[in-house]
Amino acid sequence: MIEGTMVFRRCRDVRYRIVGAEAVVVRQSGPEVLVLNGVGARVIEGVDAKTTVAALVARLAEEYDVDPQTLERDVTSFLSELAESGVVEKMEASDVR
Amino acid sequence: MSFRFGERFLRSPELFPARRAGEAWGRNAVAVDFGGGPYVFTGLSAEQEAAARERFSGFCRQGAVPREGIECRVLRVSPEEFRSFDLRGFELTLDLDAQADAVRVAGLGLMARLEWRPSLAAALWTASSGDDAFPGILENVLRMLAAYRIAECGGALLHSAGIVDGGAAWVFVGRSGAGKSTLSRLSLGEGRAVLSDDLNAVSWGAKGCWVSALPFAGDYHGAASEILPLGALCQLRQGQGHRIEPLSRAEGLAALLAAAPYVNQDPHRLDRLLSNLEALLDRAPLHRVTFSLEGGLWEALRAAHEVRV
Repeated sequence: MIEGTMVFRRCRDVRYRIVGAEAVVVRQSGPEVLVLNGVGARVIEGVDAKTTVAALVARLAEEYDVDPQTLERDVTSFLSELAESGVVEKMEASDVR
Repeated sequence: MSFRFGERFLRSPELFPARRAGEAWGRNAVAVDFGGGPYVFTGLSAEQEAAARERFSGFCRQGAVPREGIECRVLRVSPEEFRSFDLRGFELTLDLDAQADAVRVAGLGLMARLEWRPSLAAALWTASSGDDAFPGILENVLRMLAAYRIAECGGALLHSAGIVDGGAAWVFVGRSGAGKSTLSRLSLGEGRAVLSDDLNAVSWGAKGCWVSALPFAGDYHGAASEILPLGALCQLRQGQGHRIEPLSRAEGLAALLAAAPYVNQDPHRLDRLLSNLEALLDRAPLHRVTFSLEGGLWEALRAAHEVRV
């Protein structure tokens, strides 16, 4: 269960590049390559080892005309998928800058 | 299961050589010439030289071995350094350890080291005196060396089928099973030349993009070094009927990146590779191509795309 106070970071072997409105994400240990749409690109950019999930959702809410609850649900669901795929990982509270 | 670097192949990976030094097998040399090269193997025994010339025939320079080029010293090592194991069902991959100024490589019967000091050079340690295993060992190292060198020169080595139509080479990338060899076989049957159904080098310059034939192939390949203008980059899929569709730039970059072996695993050189691939996408047409076994794909391709030469 992802909560608003949690902070995520990209896994060590993950690199990404913004291409237009989309993002190309590479898991180099695979190697595995993913393409993220515009919102996904903003999420992977925002997963920076210091921004909480709640702050990330708030930032996206300013950019996209979406119901905040829907956005929160979509972002947490997407973060879960990224975590399961080994793209991002939840940080321990003691590691958050 | 995760492994420490080299432990799948080496008995003592912690003793991996820290520099390109050791005892050469002999004084012979072979220059293999294609994109980014020549790639000059030195320190060969006569038997190893003969095996290399046979394996890379059509790509070997005749006469004196050039001083310039990417040198790979071939050095002796005891067979005791390597683990032996049952190869049945074993997928042959190489272990890589990329560092800022070097890449360490361990594989079946080989250790290799690529170094930038400041220009690229390599060493290969093998226990094979030139027997049946030697050409495969040499090719494994040459594939990697070429991938890094071509990326360094601004291009990319791509797992792909390179097929010639209308004087240009079309490059089809795709996952294993996407149909690269099938399309190569069908195209060959229709009278088109196939550069390789496995690896091709794509580069660009002031006069456009081009494709270099390489001495690496699965089932189908050309006979000699050749450079052709690039027709288009295509992401290949097998499906029902033929479809040629546009790809977004990100989808194209992802398809090319996934097809760029070795360097796409190297965190120190990934940015350079991505920039090369983006430069290619700026200059080359890009399609997603779905094809079936029925004929007529090339007519459909031409109808959807005017070849840029």
